[in-house]
Amino acid sequence: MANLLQKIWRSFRGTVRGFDSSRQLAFGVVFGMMIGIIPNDSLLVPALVVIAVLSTANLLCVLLSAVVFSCVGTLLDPVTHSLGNTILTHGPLQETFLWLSGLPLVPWTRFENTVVTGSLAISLAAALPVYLIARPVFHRLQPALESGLMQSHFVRWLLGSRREPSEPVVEN
Amino acid sequence: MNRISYLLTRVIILGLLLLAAWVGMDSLVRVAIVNNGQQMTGAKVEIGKVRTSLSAGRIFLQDVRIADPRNPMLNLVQADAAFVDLDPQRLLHREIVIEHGTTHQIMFGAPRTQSGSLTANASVHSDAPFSESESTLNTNEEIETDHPRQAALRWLDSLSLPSTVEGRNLELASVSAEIQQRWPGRFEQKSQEVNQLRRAIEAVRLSMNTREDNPLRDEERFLEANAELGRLQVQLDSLEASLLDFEREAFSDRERLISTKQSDEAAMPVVSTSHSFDSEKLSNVLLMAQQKQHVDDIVEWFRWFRMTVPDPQRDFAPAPIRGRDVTFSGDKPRPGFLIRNLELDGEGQFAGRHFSFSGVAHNITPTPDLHDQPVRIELRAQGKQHLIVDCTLDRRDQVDRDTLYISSPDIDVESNMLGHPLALVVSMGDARMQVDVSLQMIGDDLSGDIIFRYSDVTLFVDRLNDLAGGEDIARRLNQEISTLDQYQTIVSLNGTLDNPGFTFESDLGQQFASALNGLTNERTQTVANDSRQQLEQILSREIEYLDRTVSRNIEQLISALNSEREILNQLERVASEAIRQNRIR
Repeated sequence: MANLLQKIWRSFRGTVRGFDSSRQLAFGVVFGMMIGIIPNDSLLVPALVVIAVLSTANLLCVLLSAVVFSCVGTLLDPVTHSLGNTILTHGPLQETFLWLSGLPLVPWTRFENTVVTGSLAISLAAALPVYLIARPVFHRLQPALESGLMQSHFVRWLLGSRREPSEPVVEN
Repeated sequence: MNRISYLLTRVIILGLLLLAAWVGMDSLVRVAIVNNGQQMTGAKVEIGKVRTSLSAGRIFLQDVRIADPRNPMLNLVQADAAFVDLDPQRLLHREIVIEHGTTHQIMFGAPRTQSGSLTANASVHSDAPFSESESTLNTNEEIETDHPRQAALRWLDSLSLPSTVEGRNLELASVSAEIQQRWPGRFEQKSQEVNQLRRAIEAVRLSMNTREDNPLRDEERFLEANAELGRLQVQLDSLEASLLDFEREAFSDRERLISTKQSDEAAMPVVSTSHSFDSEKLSNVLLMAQQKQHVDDIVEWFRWFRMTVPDPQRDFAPAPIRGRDVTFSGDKPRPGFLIRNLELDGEGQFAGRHFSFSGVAHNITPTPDLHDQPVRIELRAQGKQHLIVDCTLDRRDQVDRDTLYISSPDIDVESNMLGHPLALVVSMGDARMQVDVSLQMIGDDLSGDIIFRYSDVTLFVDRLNDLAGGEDIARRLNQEISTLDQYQTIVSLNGTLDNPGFTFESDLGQQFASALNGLTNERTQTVANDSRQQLEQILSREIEYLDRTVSRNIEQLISALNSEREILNQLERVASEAIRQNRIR
C-alpha cells in the first residue's frame, strides 16, 4: 500500500511539474488552446478541463497554453463570430441545432452563440496542426526547457525540489 | 501499473477539483449571481452570503443589494435575506426560473453610501427618470396649492345672485318724492294768485264805494270798475280752470304712482327654479383639495410600481456579449432569468392612511419580450383595513401597457376639512369610504377612473362667503345638510404620470347646490314680499297724500274762488245798477 501511494505521489509530481513526453506536452498545448479560445462562460470549457485532466496531457502546458490563448481568443472574436454565424445560420443544420438546444445541459455550452461555435470550430480545426507543430518543438527544446525551468525559484518552490535531477523521461 | 497509477493520479486531481468546486460552491454561485446580475442590469450587485442546496434547488441569499442603473446612489432593491426555489428542469436548459422566492425586509429605492455604477462615471444614468420625477413633483406641488384656490375663485366669480330690493332705489319712492315736492309750491303759487285776485276785487270794491261830487265822474268811475270787474272775472275763471287742471293732474299723479308701483314690482327679483349655484363648481370648491390628494397618492402608487420594476430595455445597461446569440428557425426563445413568484411586504399610504402590505410579484424578467405573461404585482393590506392593489406592467410589446387596480370595500376616513377658506369651508367628521381605482397607461398616456363612495358622513358648514349668503345662509344650510350622510365622487384621469390631469364629478356639489338654491330662493322670496309690502305702503301713503293734501287744497282754493266770484258778481251788479241810475239821472 505504501509502495502504491509512493508511486502515485511520484506520478503526481511528474504530472504537475510537466516534464513529460513531447507528445503529452503537445496535447497539453492543444487542450490549452481550446480552453483558452472558447469563451469561458461556456460549459465546453469545464468539459475540456475534465477531459484534459483525465487525459495524459501535461497539465502545466494546459494551464500556460490556456492563459496565452485566452488573450488570443478575444482578438479572434471578429473571425470566430463570422465563422460561427455562418455555421449557426446554415439552413440544413437548423433542425439539428434546434434539437440540440432542447437537450438538457447542452444549452449551457452556449453553442447558439456565434463566438462560442466559431471558436470551437477554429480550435477543432487547429488542434491537429497545433499538435503537429508543438510536438517536434517540444522534442527539441525539452532538455533546455527542463533545465531552464528548474533554475526558476518559483518552479522549484512549486515542486518542492532542491536542485535534484528530474525524473527520467519515459517515452510511452 | 504505471498507466493505472497515472490514471489514478488524474482521477484524484479531478476529484480534488470537484471537491474544491463543491466546497466553494457557495462562493462560485455568489460570483455567478453577481456577475450575471451585473451583466444584466449594468449596475453593482452585492451579496453578503450565499448558501446553496443544489439537490433541493434552493438558494439562500443574505444582504442582497442591487444598485439602480438609473440612479447609482440608490438601490433598485435590497433585502436582508432571500430564499429562492429554482426549477431544476428549466435549470438544465440554462433557464434560471425562480418558482418561488421569499424576502425579508425588502426595500426599494434605498439610498447607497457608495455609487452603484460599474463605470467610473457614475452620473451616466443618474439624470433620467428620478430627477425628472422630482422636477415634476414641484409642478405638482404648485398645482396642489393652486387648484383648490382657483376652484374657489372660479366659484365666487360665477355667483350672480339676484339683487335684493334692499339694495335698490325704488322708482315709486322717487316719484312720490317728486310729487310731494311739486304740489306745495304749486298750491302756494295758486294761493298767491287767489290772494292777488282777492286784493284786486277789494280794490275795485273800495273804488266803487268812494263817492264823487261830479256825477259824470261817478259814472266814469263805475264804468272803469265794471271793466275791471270783467277783467277780474276772466282771471277768476282762468284760476278756476287751472284748479280743475290740478284735479286732473292729481288724478294723473295717482295713476302714475300706481303704474310706478307696478313697474317696481315687475322689476323685483323673480324667484325661479333654475340653479343659481353651479353644482359642478361647488363640487370643485368642496372636493378639489381632497381629490387632488387622493389622485396624487394613486399616481404615486403607479409611479412607484413603474419605477420599482424598471423597464429592462430602457433602464438597464447590460454588458455587451461577445458575438451574438442565434435564434434557430422554429425555436421560441424563453427568458433566461424569470421570477415566477416573489413574496413581498412593505408599507404604503392611501387616502391619508398608512397600510402594511404583503403580496406577490409575478413574472419578473429582464427579457419581458420573451415571456408570455406581463409582470404582475398583487398586494393585500394587512389588518382590519381591506385594500387590494393589483398592478400589471406589460413590457412585451413596443408600447408599454400598464394597469393599476386598487379596490377597497371599506376604509376608515379620518375627519378633515373640505372646501377653501375663500369660499366655503365644511368640516367633515369621521366617515367610511369605498374606493375603486382603474387606471391604465398606454405608452406615456395615463387614463382611467377612480370612484370614491363615502358613507356615514357628517358635514358642518364652518364658513360661507358673503357672496353666497354668508353666516345666515351657512346656519340654515347646516340644517339642510344634516340629513346628508353619503356622497360619491368619480374622478377621470388623463395626461401623463409626471403631469397628471383630472376632472371629477360628485353629487356632493349637487346636494349642496340644491340646498343653497332652496335657501337663497327662500330668502329672495322673503325679501320680495317685504318689498311688495313696502311698495304698498308707499303707494297708500302717496295716494292718501294726494287725496288728503292735494284735493283739500284744491277744494279750499276753489271755495275761495267761489266766494270771490260771489263778491265779484255783487260788485258787478252794484256797478251796473249805479251806471244805469246815473244814465237815468
